[in-house]
Amino acid sequence: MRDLDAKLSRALDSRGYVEKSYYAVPGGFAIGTRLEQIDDSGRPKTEPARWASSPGPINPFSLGAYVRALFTAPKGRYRIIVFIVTATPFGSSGKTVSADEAQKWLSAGLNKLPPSIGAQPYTPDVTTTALIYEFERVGDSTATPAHEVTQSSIPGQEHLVNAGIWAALGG
Amino acid sequence: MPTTSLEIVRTRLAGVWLGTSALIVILVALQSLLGKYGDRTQDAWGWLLPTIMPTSGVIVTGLVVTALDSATSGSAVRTSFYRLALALSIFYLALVLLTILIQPLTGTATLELMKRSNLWLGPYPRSRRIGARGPVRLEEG
Repeated sequence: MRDLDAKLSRALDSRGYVEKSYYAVPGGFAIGTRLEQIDDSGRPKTEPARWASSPGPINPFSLGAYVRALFTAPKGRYRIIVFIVTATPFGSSGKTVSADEAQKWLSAGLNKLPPSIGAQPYTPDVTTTALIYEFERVGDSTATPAHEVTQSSIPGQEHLVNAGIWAALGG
Repeated sequence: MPTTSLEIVRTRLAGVWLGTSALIVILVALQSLLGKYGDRTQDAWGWLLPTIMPTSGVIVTGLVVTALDSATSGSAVRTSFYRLALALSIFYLALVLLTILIQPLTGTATLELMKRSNLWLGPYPRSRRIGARGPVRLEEG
């Protein structure tokens, strides 16, 4: 498990996901990334907008983007990627999570994989599942809560491809 | 001391105020219709109306009251005073317009910026009313 964590961590670090959080799950572990702002294709926005909790100023500037921002409410798309590494099958609880709650995952988890989990053997039954939590906020005020997108227009694999994680993992 | 006809002063100040106010109202109306303010449209208008309406109202009232009054049609206003009133009016209205137009470039939430604009618009009401009403008062005096 430690080797797998090292591979995942290297891939995430190389794509800017330096802040991660570890959780123990039945039969394995989970790594969650920090909430990031993405564009409509699932690519992370350029920094500092990537890690901002509000849409921020127009970037890059164009007259069309300015007029759109002047007359319409900005739409912010956000994402958290959680890798679950376990041999234990699991499903969805069906519960939705708020962006505020998801943001707390980063501070509530551990900073590294506990040795007891890292020492567990990596058996053929172990699978790595990427869960994408996507959120959307309409409006430019952070007072407006971002709600979870349960039916995203971006498929899960495309999220990983456009985040650069897919390539970093050798996919 | 150079003077300017009161009629000209009144017309020009009214033109500046009513023209720019109409532009701002149309701008905010379009923003409201297109959902810029979400469910806080009322808050946006709550900022805009007290910002421009009192002075615009005074100007319209001044125009209406003096429309049929021929007694003061030949009156004149000191040109320096007229220029000051015009400059104050243009500066104030430009600040209001700028508050709306600059928001997409700042990244600050629209209503937060409107609230913050009280810092630069707040000290103005008294001076702009002096500027806008001045010619009307001269005529009254």
